[in-house]
Amino acid sequence: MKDVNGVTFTIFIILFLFVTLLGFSAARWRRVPALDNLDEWGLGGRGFGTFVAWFLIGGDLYTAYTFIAVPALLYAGSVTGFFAVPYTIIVYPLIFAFIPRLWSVAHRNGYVTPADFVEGRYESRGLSLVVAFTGILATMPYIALQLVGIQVVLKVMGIGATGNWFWKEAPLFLAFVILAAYTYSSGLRAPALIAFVKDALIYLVVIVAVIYLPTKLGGWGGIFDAAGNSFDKFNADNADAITAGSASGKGLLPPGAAQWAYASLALGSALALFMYPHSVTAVLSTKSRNVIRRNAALLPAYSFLLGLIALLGFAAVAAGVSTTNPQEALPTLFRQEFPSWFVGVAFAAIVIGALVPAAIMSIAAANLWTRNIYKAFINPAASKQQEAQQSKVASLVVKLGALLFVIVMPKEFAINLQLLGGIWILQTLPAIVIGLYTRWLHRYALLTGWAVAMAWGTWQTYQVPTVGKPGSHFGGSVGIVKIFGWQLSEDKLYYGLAALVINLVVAVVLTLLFRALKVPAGTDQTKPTDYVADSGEAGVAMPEELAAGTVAP
Amino acid sequence: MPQPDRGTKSRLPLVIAGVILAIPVILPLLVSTYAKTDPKLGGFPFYFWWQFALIVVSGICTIIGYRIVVGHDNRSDDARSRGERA
Repeated sequence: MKDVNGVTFTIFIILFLFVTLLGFSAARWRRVPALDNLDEWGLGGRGFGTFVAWFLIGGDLYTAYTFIAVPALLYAGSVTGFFAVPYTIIVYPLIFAFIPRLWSVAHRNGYVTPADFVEGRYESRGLSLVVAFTGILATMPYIALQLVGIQVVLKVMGIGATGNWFWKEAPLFLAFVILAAYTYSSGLRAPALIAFVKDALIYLVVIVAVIYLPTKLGGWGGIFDAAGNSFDKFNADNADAITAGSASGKGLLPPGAAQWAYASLALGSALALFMYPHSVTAVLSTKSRNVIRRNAALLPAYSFLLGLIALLGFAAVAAGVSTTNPQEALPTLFRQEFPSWFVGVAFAAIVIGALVPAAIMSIAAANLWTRNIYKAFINPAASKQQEAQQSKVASLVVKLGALLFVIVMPKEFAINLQLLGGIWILQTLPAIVIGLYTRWLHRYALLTGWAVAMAWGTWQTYQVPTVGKPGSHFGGSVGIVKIFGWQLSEDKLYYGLAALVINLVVAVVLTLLFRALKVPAGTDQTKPTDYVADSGEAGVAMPEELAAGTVAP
Repeated sequence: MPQPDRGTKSRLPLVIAGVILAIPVILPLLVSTYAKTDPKLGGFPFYFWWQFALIVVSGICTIIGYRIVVGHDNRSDDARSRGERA
């Protein structure tokens, strides 16, 4: 640990200990008699208002990995790297339009997970199982990436960089144990409370960085010019390799051929985002439909922040940061350009920023396990207390799985699986979103559409080699889309979106077939009025009723 | 199937809200309209400052949509409670 800066390390540890205390004391926040049911442990009492929800959803969707990976893409000159910004622009109008219906039907019928809704809507445990399975499968590598984010920061800080296997991973392991312990004891309240600290720190760090760095690097104009020149030089030096396809050309913005990849990545990722169990968990924890709608209007503030963080990738190029692992670009930039105490704040912000979504994701995956696998197939008679206990244990297992992932598997593997995770989770959209409006699609048609799209999307992504490594796999999630030899477009597209189209086509065609054959469609347990119910209406429990004895934060 | 009774008001406000909300979904997808360097603003190439501007546009459109939908909900709640009392 000879590289460690004492001041940076001290500030980092103080902030980390502070949020740890906060995480454990969260069990007493908005105190209720007991946290022994899923409404309380897994959804924070379903009573969060606009203010808390803004931090919680923001802290949940804009993960630490985003703060590491997005600037890494721009640092590496990826022409589509900035797609995270249009993606987070598109997502909020969509949330505004679709999610209040999910909120209403979930509140009227006591649904905790999206798979609960699918089961109630289609009377199909099979369809519900695949929605739950896809959710857990897609969430695990996402949690793993948060741990990768922590690892990167620790490495740049100089902790755990040396020594044997055990000492190398010990700091990550310690952070993980603390996270697991307070998630276990406080449930969703822990990340909700820590999210305040996370966001305050991230906003502070980013605002300081985007104001201070340009003064050292010749203004934003100077930063863009320096990055552009550096990429042009790379392209000129490697012209042969780029023509041969063994290297990617770099640039500030996407040339014509990459523009549909950019747009389809943005749209596909936006559609996928609110299918993720952790986003559903966060929105179901709110106390009314209008909290969600108001947040859809207020959350773009985070997108602005994300855009600025992304541009720090260019600032790293301009500052001459040199690293073979682009993920280390942002932390290295901070270490190089800022006084040590501020570096401590920045690194703590990123690590705390990883803990919030990791906690919510593990809770969401645990809820899926409990409601749609344990209760649906293993112990249908489970009491509310047993459900909560199952979820608490499952949240530990899920996190442990993610930790093993990061330690045992090569880092690339988690990133590739996360890429696939987006494609997979998108395939639950027809059952969930279309199901919010109509029951026309047949349950078995939806099931088949899901299976075909999952297989197709995974196979296509498997065939994408990493640039410069012929014969390798899972090198990216965009490519020329061909279906039975028929080429959809000249340009590359996001495979997730293409798979969704295939999914929908299969579902529609088979629905027509199954309806003609009169295959039973099951009974709908929901009523049309369930989808527009708001808090205070008949059958929708008020937060006060759910959490008797609630105190204001 | 009977229409779920949300009062006698028209659905026009919801359609208008839908159109307004579609703006921030569609504009970012038209990449060819903004993937260019000029005109620059404060050193930012057009491509970047335009997308930052779209974030603001998205926020404004969603606030307008929110006003319309909430106003619509309140009116239909009034209409419904009048209907229940009658």
